[in-house]
Amino acid sequence: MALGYALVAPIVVIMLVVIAYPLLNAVWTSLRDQRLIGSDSDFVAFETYAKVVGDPSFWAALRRSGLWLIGNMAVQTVLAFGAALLMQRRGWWARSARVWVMLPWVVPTVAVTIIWQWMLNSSYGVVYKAFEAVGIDLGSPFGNPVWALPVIILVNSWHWFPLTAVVVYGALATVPGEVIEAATIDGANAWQTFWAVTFPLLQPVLFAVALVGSLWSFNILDTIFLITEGGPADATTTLPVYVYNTAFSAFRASEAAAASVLTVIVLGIAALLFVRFARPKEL
Amino acid sequence: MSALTTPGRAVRAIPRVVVMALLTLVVLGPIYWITISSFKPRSELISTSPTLLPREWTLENFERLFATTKYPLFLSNSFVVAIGTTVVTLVVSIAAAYGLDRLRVPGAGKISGVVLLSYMIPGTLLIVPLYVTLAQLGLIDSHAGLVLVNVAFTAPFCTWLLRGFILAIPIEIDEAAALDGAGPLRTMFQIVLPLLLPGVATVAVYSFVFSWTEFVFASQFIMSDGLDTLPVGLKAIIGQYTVDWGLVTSATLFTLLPTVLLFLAVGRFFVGGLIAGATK
Amino acid sequence: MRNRFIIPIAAAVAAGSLILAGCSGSPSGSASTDPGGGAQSGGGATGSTEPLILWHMESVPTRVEAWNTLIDQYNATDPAYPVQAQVQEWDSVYQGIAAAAQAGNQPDILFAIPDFATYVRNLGLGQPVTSTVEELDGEYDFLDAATAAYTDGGEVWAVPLYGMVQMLWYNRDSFEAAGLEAPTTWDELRAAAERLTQDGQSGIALPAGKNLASDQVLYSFMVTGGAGNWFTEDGEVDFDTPETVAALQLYKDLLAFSPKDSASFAWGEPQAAFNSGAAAMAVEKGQYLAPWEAESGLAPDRLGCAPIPVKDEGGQPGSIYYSNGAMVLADDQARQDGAAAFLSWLMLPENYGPFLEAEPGLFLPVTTDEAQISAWRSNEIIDTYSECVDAMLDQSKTGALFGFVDGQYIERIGDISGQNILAQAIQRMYVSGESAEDAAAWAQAEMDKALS
Repeated sequence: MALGYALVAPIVVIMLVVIAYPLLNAVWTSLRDQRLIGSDSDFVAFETYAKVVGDPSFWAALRRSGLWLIGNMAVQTVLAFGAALLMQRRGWWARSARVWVMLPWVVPTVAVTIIWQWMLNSSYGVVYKAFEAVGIDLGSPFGNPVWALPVIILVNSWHWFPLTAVVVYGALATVPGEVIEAATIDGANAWQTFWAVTFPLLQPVLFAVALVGSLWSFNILDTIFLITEGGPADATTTLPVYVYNTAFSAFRASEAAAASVLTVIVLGIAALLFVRFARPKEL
Repeated sequence: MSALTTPGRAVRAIPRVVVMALLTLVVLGPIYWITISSFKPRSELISTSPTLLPREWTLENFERLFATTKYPLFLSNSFVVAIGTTVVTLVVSIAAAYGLDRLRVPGAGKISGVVLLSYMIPGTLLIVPLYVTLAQLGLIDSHAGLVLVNVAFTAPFCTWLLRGFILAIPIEIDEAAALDGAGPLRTMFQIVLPLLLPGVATVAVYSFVFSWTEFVFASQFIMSDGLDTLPVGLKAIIGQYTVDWGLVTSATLFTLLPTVLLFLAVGRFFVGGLIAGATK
Repeated sequence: MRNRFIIPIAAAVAAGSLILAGCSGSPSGSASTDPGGGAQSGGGATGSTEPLILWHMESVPTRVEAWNTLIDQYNATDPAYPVQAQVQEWDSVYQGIAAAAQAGNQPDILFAIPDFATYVRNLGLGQPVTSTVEELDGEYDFLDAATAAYTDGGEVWAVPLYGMVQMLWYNRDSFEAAGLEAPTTWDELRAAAERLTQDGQSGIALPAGKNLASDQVLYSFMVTGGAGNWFTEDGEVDFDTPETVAALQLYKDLLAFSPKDSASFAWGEPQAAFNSGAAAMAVEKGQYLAPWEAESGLAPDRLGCAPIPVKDEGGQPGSIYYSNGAMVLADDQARQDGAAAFLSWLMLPENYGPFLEAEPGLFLPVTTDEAQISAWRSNEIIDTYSECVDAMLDQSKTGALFGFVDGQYIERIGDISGQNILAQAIQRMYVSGESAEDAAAWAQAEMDKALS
């Protein structure tokens, strides 16, 4: 038994040090009125929370995070499914795709943002010029307040969809061939087979992927920040960007901590609800 | 599949082929673009009519990259940290998964909750308190400190993944080994571990890539430029007030090249392992 | 039987972590000693021969290289305190120095700009360097704008090292083809920008992203529009004035002649547009000299430079001026003296030239001493573009920086500049279509909030 504890001890210790302690520190900071990190501050109980909750930009950031989340999940799911379905076919394309489809994931985020900004620049961007050549004016992809967030969602999806694609691909591999055949013999076409047979069998995997993927997507900061820093005119300021700016640009440490704690609470509630209501019966 | 006339099948294949083509373009296009851009001279890089193939092939960007930056050093730093992260993650998560499942340490069911919790934490929250903690441990400005931080984020997911694998290994195997006189550790190393290999491969690749691409903590917790990793080195090239685009494109290429090559070499093991693990 | 394995496991884990710890600090850099953990540098270490840690944010490889070479030369003179540079990024240094202050392992020397210096001082760091500055001033004669930005309460808080100033850069080919002269007033600038915007070329490339680049360019226009000082005597914000509104309006008007995606521009994009011929003008500092020939494919004399155009009525010549200086953060007197020794060494004529040449054109001397400057002037780039260099030195005399104008020292200016409020005001006009009046009012409110 002691051995068991000894084996589990390392991960527990590491998580306590790296995650639990800073989290507690953040909660402690959020109950104060600290401005500059490390400066003197007084205990103000929930006053800071009231300030944050009363700040319309906090709610706007939360709303944008919701849009960010939905957008990412939608685009990545479509891309992942499309890729996964095609990857399970026979043929040279599918065989090669199983390897290169992972490439966007292994490119560091810094490089991803550089590459896409490079390609979408109006003076020398190849993608921009290509659209121009067919008569589509992309305007200002990252500078348009309506389109900036969707464009960054696409960039972010390009970066992260391979992980989901591989998981779905693996899950598809577990669907027994006979079941598909049985459906086809009964006269179902590919589309019907997918929805009636394949999809239900995939639910446990999809559930896990959706849950973990959503949490992961929600907290993404670097992709957005490296491109627009939250602009133009706050159009891409999601909650993580809001927290970052509050802490490190506006130097309001306690407000940022409070916003972070609220983020964790919101995500916790959302996760609980998701697990309660969307959990497939088998689990 | 019922037999159909050939032209009908060809027509039905069109949407599929279009999607394949689009996927290929979207995924490989940007990679191709950055690669080809590194071989263009600076004036062609910013040209208002981008060229699909360089009008003038040049290696000057790479020359400048290796002459003026410490790129080979950043490369080796990234390797050190990535391998360190991978090894420690493997040790920690295999141990934890085994302990939770086989040795019945309480909390096994909670592991998923812990994984989720670790994903819920916004990263910015952690920067300053973590810096102070690491400073107290003397781990600021060290690769060991980075490894520690990376492991905290990879280990929960990897433990959860491996636990799925371990659950699939029937307990009878352990019992048979015990009957033969093997203690729990020997069972773990000699019996269970070999059966875990696909999972191990997955964990290894996941940890490696996570560490390789990690930027925020690497830039905050490393002070000496001699210890910087590739993403930090890349960002530094952009600097303030001016951008040498040739240097940026060649540096970007070199930042992603190692992982791309690694992946082309061992990628299918990762795919295999992730599949097997996620379906458990 | 189970307990037998605990010790071997613990040993394995310990061995593993020792190996990892040994891996840190092993690669070579320009450092002579292992940087290690937080216990060593800065703080209250009593005068051992631990090297002085120097932080600077000039991360561009050529600059890093140039300064490391100089530092190696200094260390070769066997000083009491050798120096070791650690390059930081602007994005991370704000929290980096805050965290270092908390942990007590701040660097001994920190290169800064004036508003960053106020932030650092507010963290409780920073020693006065008045005597060093006075000494160097006596020898080399600092520019007023250079020291003013670091003078507070009778003391000077950083040793000025290099200056940066903005000019109007223009493409002589485009101008000559259109029969235009370099604009000298706002109206002429507007007219030129409009005239030069045709078939895929923009008259001017201005940054409008949420970043420091946009702040800086707007400020240059505010200075020439008589709105450079937006603080009252008591340090209150007085931003929403007719002069400020006029400057914002000018910027908005000019953005109409700037590339469509200017809202995502920082420094690199306008320069790329200018060098490729996609734009005919840009407003920026001296970094435009060095890459001109290679990137534009045109001869050096095709790069035109002019002072920032002045408002037609009520304007004054000027530009944004950044005095980059070195703060001393060491607590220990001996280390402070060591830092002063290094900085004085840097200012020696034979070293100052190479120091500035780390980025020729961008880094300008902060002094007027002939001997000191002559080495720098013989650098290839400086020599080739000597006319523009002279223009920049001239413009430096009327340079200013918000928060430090006319002897002010707004110690919470960092709270404003950190949020890029100027850039956000630009975005509200350009991207959301707000009027200049509304944008000015919004910025006033934000600045008040930041200082509250």
